[in-house]
Amino acid sequence: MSIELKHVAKTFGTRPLFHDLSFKVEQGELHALVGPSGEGKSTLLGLIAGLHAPDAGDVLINGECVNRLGPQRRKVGYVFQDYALFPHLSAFENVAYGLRASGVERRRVHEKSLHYLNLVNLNRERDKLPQELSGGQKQRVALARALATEPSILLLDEPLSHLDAEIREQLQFELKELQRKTGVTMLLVTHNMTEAVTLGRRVSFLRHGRIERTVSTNALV
Amino acid sequence: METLTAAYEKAPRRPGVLRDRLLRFDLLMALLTALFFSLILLVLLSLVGAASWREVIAHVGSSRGFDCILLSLKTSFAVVVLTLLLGFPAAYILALKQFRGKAFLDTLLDLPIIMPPLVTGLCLLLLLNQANPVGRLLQEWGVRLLFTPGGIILAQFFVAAPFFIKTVRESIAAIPSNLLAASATLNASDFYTFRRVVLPLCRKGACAGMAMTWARALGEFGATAMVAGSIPGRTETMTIAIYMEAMSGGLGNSISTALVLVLFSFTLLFVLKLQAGRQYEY
Ligand SMILES: Nc1ncnc2c1ncn2[C@@H]1O[C@H](COP(=O)(O)OP(=O)(O)OP(=O)(O)O)[C@@H](O)[C@H]1O
Ligand SMILES: [Mg+2]
Repeated sequence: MSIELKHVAKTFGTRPLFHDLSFKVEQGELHALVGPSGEGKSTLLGLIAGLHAPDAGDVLINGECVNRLGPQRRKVGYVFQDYALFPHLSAFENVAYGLRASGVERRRVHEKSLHYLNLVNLNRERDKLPQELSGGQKQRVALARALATEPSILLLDEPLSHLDAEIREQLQFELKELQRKTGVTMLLVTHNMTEAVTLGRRVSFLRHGRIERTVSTNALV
Repeated sequence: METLTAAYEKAPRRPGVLRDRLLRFDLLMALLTALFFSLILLVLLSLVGAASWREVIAHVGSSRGFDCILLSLKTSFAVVVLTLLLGFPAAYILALKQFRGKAFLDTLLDLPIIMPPLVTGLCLLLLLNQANPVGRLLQEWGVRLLFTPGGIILAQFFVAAPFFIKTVRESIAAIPSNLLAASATLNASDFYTFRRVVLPLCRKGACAGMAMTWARALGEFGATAMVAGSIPGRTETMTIAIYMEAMSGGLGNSISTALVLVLFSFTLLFVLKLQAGRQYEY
């Protein structure tokens, strides 16, 4: 599914964040978004997921305007920058949450949750509460939780920022594989240029409230 | 960066002085805390000291004593059930939704708390009276609230429910909006989110609010007296009995009832505290 923002404006309080922002992620693309801190990368993801409403302009998913659809109906997976794990649920229950909410049958919930916990190397931590996990472990739970519902669009807000090089590379590989195999559309926010270039097929630069430019990484390599 | 380094080097380093100052501060705080708690204990002890246990047991066994205790327990329990039913929706809406007139509702919620219960009782009396259309309508439907246990429940509910709503609203508002957003992106309906995220995370607040509401309903006097009077065996609650007996020379019975009331409230508070569970860090 493709994602498109058309002439979007968004203001918090009095400070305009986006004035006339247009942006497109193609169907099945892994697109990286980079930009200075505070420029509105997370807000942009929030607009796509339906957590914020644009003041003007349209958000399109698969060519259809979703301005009026709530987050539940957009079927967009989201890894939050601050993880947003449910503090009262174990790692396993966090991952299972979306599946249970979607009414998936019990046995499947169990299987899938374990599978995705395994994918992020956390099967041993499954019964721990978020407060008993390290920063990087929390981040991996957040990733597994978003993957578990197998959405056709994934928004990743610096999903690997707190991981050491080894596991980061492993998960970068997994994300790329996942993307290649399932054709899920991914929009990945990162501070890390290397990551943007190795993962993204295209990289967009957000600055001064608009997409300054978008480059194809094929051209760079 | 140079300026930072300079400032850092200029800062005085006298850890000893700082430690002494901190110690003295802690001592002062501890003393004032002790003062406060001794005051509470003194007041409680005055009641316990005045009672004889044999008298208390005899009084609880007497028909008047037993009736008023039972009535208070029944009505306050009904108030708690009603509060849970209406309080959760109110707290949820006030905590999470933005709408016009919210500030007005907020103020309205404070009203029963700041209004003297006697005045609340007077208002209810006027509302339920024949002369008022609502009162007349209720009369036609055969709902009798004046001078009945139903009236007691109404009066106690009005006075006590806002405590629950305010406490629960605070704890729902404290839930980071990201958690609710995360739930929504995970396909959860609003009801599912309420059941699996909001309710568990406001459990502590709900228990505290319930304890306060229950204790407040048990202790309600002014509004109850206005609406329901004090018919022994019918509308005489514990607090009203305490007052009536004390005024008519039965100080012993008064003390016994008071002791039961305090004991019960205390137990309630304690049990609900145990039930409250942990406070999650966000
Ligand atoms: N809910 C909100 N209310 C008010 N202001 C907000 C809100 N969310 C974001 N902002 C403001 O919008 C701006 C952009 O925030 P955003 O989180 O989107 O930046 P970012 O590009 O993700 O930064 P970072 O790289 O540090 O995560 C910031 O100045 C922030 O203060
Ligand atoms: Mg951000």
